[in-house]
Amino acid sequence: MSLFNKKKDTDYAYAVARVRSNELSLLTEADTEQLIEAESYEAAMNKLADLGWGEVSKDTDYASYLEDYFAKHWAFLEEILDDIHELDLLLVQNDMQNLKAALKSLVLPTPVDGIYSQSTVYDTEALTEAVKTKEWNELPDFMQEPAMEAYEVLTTTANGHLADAIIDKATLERILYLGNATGSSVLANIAERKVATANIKNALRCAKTGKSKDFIERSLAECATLDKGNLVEAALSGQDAVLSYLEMTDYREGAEQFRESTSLFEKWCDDLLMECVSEARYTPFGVEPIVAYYVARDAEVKTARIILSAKKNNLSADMIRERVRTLYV
Amino acid sequence: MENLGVVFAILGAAFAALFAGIGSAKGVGVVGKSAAGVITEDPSKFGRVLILEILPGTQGLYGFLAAFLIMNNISAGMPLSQGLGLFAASLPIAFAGLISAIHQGRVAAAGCGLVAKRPEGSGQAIILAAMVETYAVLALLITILLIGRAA
Repeated sequence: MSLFNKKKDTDYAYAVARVRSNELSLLTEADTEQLIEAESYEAAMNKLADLGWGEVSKDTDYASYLEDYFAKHWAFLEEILDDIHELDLLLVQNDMQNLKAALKSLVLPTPVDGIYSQSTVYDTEALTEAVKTKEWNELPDFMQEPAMEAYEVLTTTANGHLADAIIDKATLERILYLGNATGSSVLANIAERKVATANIKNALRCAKTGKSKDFIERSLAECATLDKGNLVEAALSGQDAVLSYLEMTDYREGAEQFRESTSLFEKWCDDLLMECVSEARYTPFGVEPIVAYYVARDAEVKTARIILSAKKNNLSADMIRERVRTLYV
Repeated sequence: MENLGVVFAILGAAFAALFAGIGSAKGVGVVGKSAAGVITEDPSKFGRVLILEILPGTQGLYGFLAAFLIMNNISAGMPLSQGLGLFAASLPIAFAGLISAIHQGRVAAAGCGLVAKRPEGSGQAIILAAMVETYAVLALLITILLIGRAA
């Protein structure tokens, strides 16, 4: 992060120019509409191929197809950024997911393969090796304490949910730290919104499953736009209490969407993030347009996944429209 | 002490060439990075970004011109007042050149982003960057008029 802090906004001029050129290939609303209106799943896949997302065949599985597409853009970001740690804010959750998987592999009777995310900032192999050998000090600093705590929980109580909650909370705290460390108001805002929406989701889940106060407190992270104490109390009283609390905050629209449906709520969470990065469209230099590009690619892949999955399950065009994410362009 | 006038006049010529040149180097450098990014993705846009790349370079030329005019007016044993006058004459293009070239570079680099997304907007990008040039031209004009008065 030290390099990141020292850079001037014009140091990103080359990377931003390449990002601007690549933004031309982002899905537009017209493209999305054509995908939704496609006659079948195969027609939608062919449309994506026509848009340059990669060749398709009869046997192409859409999940791996979209993964390959995203990997291509991830490689592009690695190429244009001198220090990929500048995207830690967006990717640290993938590293933490890998940490969770590595910890669970330690206690599960059979090893689990193919569960590790590849879009990470830390070397997954080194991370899993450190967990396997319980050399906690080999992990990045911010992972050491939650990894030890989660391991303790897993081995003493076998409570996988609590172990996950410990790692998730550490992830949120790390995201907030990274957002504020950049000195960019856009990135700090992204971090705040990511943490707030994750807290809301956690609180609603805890309320639904009737978790204890201790569990909820260990799941939620402190953030500026939500009061943790109030959220914990609301989660103890049930989902309605959480929604009532949200109505008194900046996230009242989220409560309205949740009352409509959970898919609308999920869409609102993603759209909130897109709203944070949308001003980067008019930012000529700095890391913000690059972060916005990552969020934009992520949103378009989510949109394509929703459409393809819906096409496979023969959902109506209106149901798909309700779920597709707001796009960057 | 008797050559102090010459010293100040030479200092003025150096200021004009140095500061305007630094500004242009910085401005052209920023546009160059943006232009390289655009060309990496689409080499056919080279012609459109080249004009934007050239624009912040003009301040360096103005500084060179002012330095040349000042040097032409230096004579051995020139009075201190004349030397100070030539030094003062160099200041508008030296500083307005420095600042305007840096900012013109930023505008032109942002224009490269515009060209990347909308190649047909390259004319607008050039006009926006050229607006900053106005102040370098005015500064050069004042520098030339002052050299005329001081000489």
